[in-house]
Parts: sequence; structure tokens; C-alpha cells
Amino acid sequence: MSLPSISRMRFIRPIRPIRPIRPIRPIRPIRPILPMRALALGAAMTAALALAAAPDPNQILQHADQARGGGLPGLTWELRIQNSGARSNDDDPPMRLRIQAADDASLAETLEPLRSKGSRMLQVDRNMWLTKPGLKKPVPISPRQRLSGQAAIGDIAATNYAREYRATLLREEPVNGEPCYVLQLAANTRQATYDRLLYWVSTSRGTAVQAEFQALSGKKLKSAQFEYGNRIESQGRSIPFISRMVISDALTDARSILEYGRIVVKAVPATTFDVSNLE
Amino acid sequence: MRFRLPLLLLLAGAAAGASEPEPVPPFRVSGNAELWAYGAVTDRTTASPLNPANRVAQLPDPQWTGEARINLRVSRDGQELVLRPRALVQDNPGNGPGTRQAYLSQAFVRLRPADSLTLTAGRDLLTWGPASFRSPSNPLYFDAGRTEPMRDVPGVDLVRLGWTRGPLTLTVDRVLDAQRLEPAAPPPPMSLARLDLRGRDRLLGLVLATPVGGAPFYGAFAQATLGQAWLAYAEFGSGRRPAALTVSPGAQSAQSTQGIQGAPFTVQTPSPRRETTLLGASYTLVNGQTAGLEWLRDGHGWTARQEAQYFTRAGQIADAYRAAPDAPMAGQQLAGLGQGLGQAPALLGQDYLSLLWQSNLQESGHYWRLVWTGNLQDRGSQVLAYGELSLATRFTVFAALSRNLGGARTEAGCLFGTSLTLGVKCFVF
Repeated sequence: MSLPSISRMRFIRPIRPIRPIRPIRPIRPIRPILPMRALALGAAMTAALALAAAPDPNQILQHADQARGGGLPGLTWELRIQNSGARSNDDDPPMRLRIQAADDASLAETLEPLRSKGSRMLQVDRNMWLTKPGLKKPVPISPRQRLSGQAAIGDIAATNYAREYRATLLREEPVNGEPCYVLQLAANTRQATYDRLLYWVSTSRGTAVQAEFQALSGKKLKSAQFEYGNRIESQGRSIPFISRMVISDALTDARSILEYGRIVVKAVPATTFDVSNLE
Repeated sequence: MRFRLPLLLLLAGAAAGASEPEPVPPFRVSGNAELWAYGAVTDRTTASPLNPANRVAQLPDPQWTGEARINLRVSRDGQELVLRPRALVQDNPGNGPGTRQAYLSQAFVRLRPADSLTLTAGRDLLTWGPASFRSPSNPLYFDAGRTEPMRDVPGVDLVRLGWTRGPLTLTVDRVLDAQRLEPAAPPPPMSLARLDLRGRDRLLGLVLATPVGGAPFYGAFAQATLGQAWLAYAEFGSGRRPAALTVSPGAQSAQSTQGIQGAPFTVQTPSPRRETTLLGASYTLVNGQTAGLEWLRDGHGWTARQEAQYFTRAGQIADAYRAAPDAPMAGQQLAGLGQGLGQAPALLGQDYLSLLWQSNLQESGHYWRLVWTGNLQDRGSQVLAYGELSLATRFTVFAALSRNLGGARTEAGCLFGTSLTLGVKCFVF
């Protein structure tokens, strides 16, 4: 595993400064009478240096979450979803949603297509309900219920991977020439949308570049690429925000393109996420 | 009573205006409008013990319906106005005059005086709970209409205060009018309190309503999300209903060739307190289709013996009517059957099983649903198949086929055998 440079670590400073890597000082000559102790000491020092320098994968994750809505007081945005490939009709109009999201909850209202207009989907933790103009009361649905095409309900809500997954830094590798940390995420809660993920986070921008969603067995289910053409104000800073997410099925050519716009950072009252108000 | 809904809306609107503090964002208007046109044919049960010559239930066959369903929402920070007007035109060729109706299915104002408080006034649906087949935890909407795809379920006129704090939500309602609900619902006014306790993957609701038939109604519901695909849930209710119908003792043997001597049925108002329980589970497949199973035990229903007595008694009256439809007793016989039909329990039996299989609710191009519901006592059952298919951006065709199995002396088959509805929906905006 290669160690990250100091310059690459700048993006996570707002969360917690990370100690820069100290240059490795030459080890004093080993006295011949204690060879084993010296070897052990050297190994321990090397390990300590490596530990001190290695970025905290959870901090990387927290930072990447912000650009996908995690850790913010509340968000409202519009989402456009276009499906293509297997199991979708090319004539299908795109789906347009208005999302209100807070820490652990989201409310998605369908604006288009016309035949689904007025549908509302509420998610609070892992409790989910759906209602439509024709339905008499909200229907509870399970997390497996897909939103549209390849997009799961968990894909449209604010992303809180740092809370839902245990991260391990595997390695660094470039994606389209951009150096990235490769994190392995394992669900540490049943609330997680996916069991396991591989998550590529740009070392310079601190935003997720791509993801590979896996089953518990490690089998690849689908993958996603992210773009960050939006910017939002958070705690007095302008930070990048997701503008496009492309989710591709691992086995077929089915693909969903999610485009994010009209983003407003503003606290959403808890009553918005009350199922009693989901008429 | 008629002035209550406008008055509620006016008061709430005035409160909204009065509470306007600073310049706020403009109102956001959203909504949709649908026009429905459909026709239905019904294969009436010729040997019906409750509906001889269709003189009691007067089931239309065929029936042509046109509907306009408009849903409007005007919202701004913490304020919301919801209007759901409906217009209905129905023609029943050869079966009496049609229907012309225009009404507000829902119309309410919702304010948020504080982040944790909501105040609702107007006509709103007071439904809750996870069950599809019936909702035992709800004293007003025991049948929330989930099994009837075309039915519009109207709201009740109410004032509601809701308080949310973390996982707790408390709502207190005062129901002032429920004139658009079915007669089986207890008459308002009534007060209702509901406490919801939400966990990360479960929800528990406790309901108290009083007075319902002069006695409190207790209800509860719970749902749990198990893994990614399973939902398990339950609903419970304990209370009285407006009426309990029984076969009059002694009337069983008091039959003559002219008809029935004495009142065929006895009505007790309100009914004794009974408990109703529903247990259910659903599983979502990888493709988003859902399969569900619900079992209902309704203490307000009859035992197999009581149900058999009911049909025997009704059958005797119906046979007598058929034998002499112009006899002087005919009017009394039809009135007796009307009472038997109209005041029978919401569900005749006590044990029911309902199986549901439906397509992904999120698919906008098509939707289908298959439902089998069985009365485990009389062995009668109903199969409902419903489907919608989008033909163009603004047009969807739909079909509903209902097939009742079990014969004329079962709950499912006592009125009709098969019903087919075909129609089209137009999405205006």
C-alpha cells in the first residue's frame, strides 16, 4: 500500500486535521549483542509511522458523504431519472422527483411522468411508505422496492455511508487518471441499502468517483459513477455537490442516469417525515 | 353540518394569514387531474337469497361511469392547502336513474405553528395501519377500500393537532362529520388520539377513540421491516359497531306459504364489544413484485352456524318473494331482506385469508394485482385481477375482473358471480 502525500490530505482538514507524514529518520546501527530486540523495535517504529500517516477511512467517507447530502441539516433537490437498456422501454419518459431529505429520512414526490404524478414515497430509517393519488392510505414497502430502473430508494436519499458502513482502506488506484482511495465498505447496520461496496474516493477532491455494489458473497451487483457539477453552501463554505450518478447493472445493459438540480440546503421539519401527513 | 367544512377551511386559512411573520418564499402549486371512463358488466346471482330479481341490492348491469379526479396542493413553508374535488356521472341503462355527483373528497389546510407541531383542519382521510384487506385498528375506516381499485374513499371533517418529537408522534383528532363514509361507520362527533412510536425498522401505533357506540375504542398496529425484503405487521381493534344483526329467534320456523311471519332479523344497537385481529406479511421479490398474506379474525362476524342461519332465513324470504312477487307481503319481504343486507356485519364470517401478488408499485408503464380472499367458514372466495397499461403519455387503459366462488349461500357469491370492468384514464395535467 502506498502512502498518500500531504497535499492529498488537505481536503479532509475541515473534519479533523491529520498529522502529516514525518520523514523516516535513519535507524541507529544495531548493536550486535541485541539483534532480536533491535529488529522488533524497528518493525514497531515502521508500523507506528505507517499508522500515523494512513488516512482515516471513516473520515474520507464522512467527507465524501457531504457531497452526496450526508451530514447536512436538510436538503431539497430535484432528481431526473432516465432508464435505458434491459427491462426498460426507450420510449419511457424520464422520471422527475422532488426530494426533501434530512439525516435519516427522505420524502420523494413524483413530478413526472404524468401517470405517476403526485406519488409520494416516505423513508424514515428503514421504514418506508408509498402513496399515490388513487391509494386510500400509505402502503408500507420494503427497502428492496426499487425506485426506478437500477435506482434503489437508498440511492436517492441523503447518503450516510459513514454511519451505515464500516470502511477499510484497501489501496490507492487511479480512476480515469485521477488518484483515488479504494475503500471497502461493509454494512454495520441492517439499515444499509447494500451489503458491501467498493468505493473510489478522489484523493484530491474528497468526493466519491465510482462505486461497486456487492452482495454478501462479494458478487458484483451493479456499479455507479458520480459527477459533481453542483456546489452548495455548507457551514459557510462552498462545497461540491453531486450532479449526476450513473448506475449500471452488472449482468445486463440496464442503466439509470440520475441528474440532480435545484438544490437547496435548508433544515426540513420533522413533521414532513410523519407518515400521518403522507396523504 | 354542511357548513362545517368551509368553516374549518376558513378558520385555518385565517390562522395561516395571521401567523405570517416575514417575507416567505412564493407558494408552490402542484397537482394532477385525471379523467376516467369505464364500463362494468356484472353477472348477478340468479338464486341470490338476499337479492331476488335484483329488487334489493339493485346491482346495475351494465353501468357506465365517467369521473374527474383532481388533486391540488398549494404549499409554502409550513403551510399547505390540499383540495381533491371529484365529479361523477353514472348511467345504469335499464336499472333506474343514473347518478350525478360533485363533491370534495378531501379539502384541508395544514399549518405548522412550530417545527414539531402540525394543525390540520378540513376534510382529510383518517387512515393508518399497514393492512390491506381490512384495518381493524381504525374505528372509522375498517374497510379503507384497498381491495376496490376504482373506489374513491372520501375523508372526514376534522380538526387535528399533531406533535412529533424524535421517534414519537402524537395526533389528536376531533371528528366533526363523516357524512360521506359508509353507514357502517360510527356516527361522529368523536375524539381520537393516536400515538406512534417509531424504531429504526419498526412502527407501533396505539389508538384510542371515544365514544364509539357509547364505549371507547382501543386499537393498535405494528409493522416491522425484516431484512431487505420482508415486512411483518399486525392490527388490532376492540370496540362496538353501530349495529349487530341476528336472525330473530323463533322466526326460523314461522314460515307460511304467504311469507314470513314476524321480523326476520333483530338488530342490536350498538353491537356488543368485540375484538378484531389481523396478522400479515409481505415479501418483495428482486424485480420489485410483492407477495403478501393476511389473516383476519373478526369477532364482529358470525360463526359458521349463525351465517348458515342467516342465509337460510334470507333464502326463505327470497323464495317466498319469488313465488308471489305481487303478494301483499312482498314489500315487507323486500324490506326484511334490505335490513338483512344493509345491517349485516361488515364481514359475515370470522376467519379470512387474503393473498396478494402485485407488480412493482413504482413501475409507471404498467401495474397489475391479483388478490384472492377467502372466507374460511363458508369456503366462499373471491379472485380479483386488476391491471393497468400505459398506451401513451396521457392515456392508460385498465381492466378489473372479479370472480366470486362458492355458491349463492356464501358471502362471496350471494350477490354476483363475475364482474368485469374496462376503462381508460386520461392524465390531463
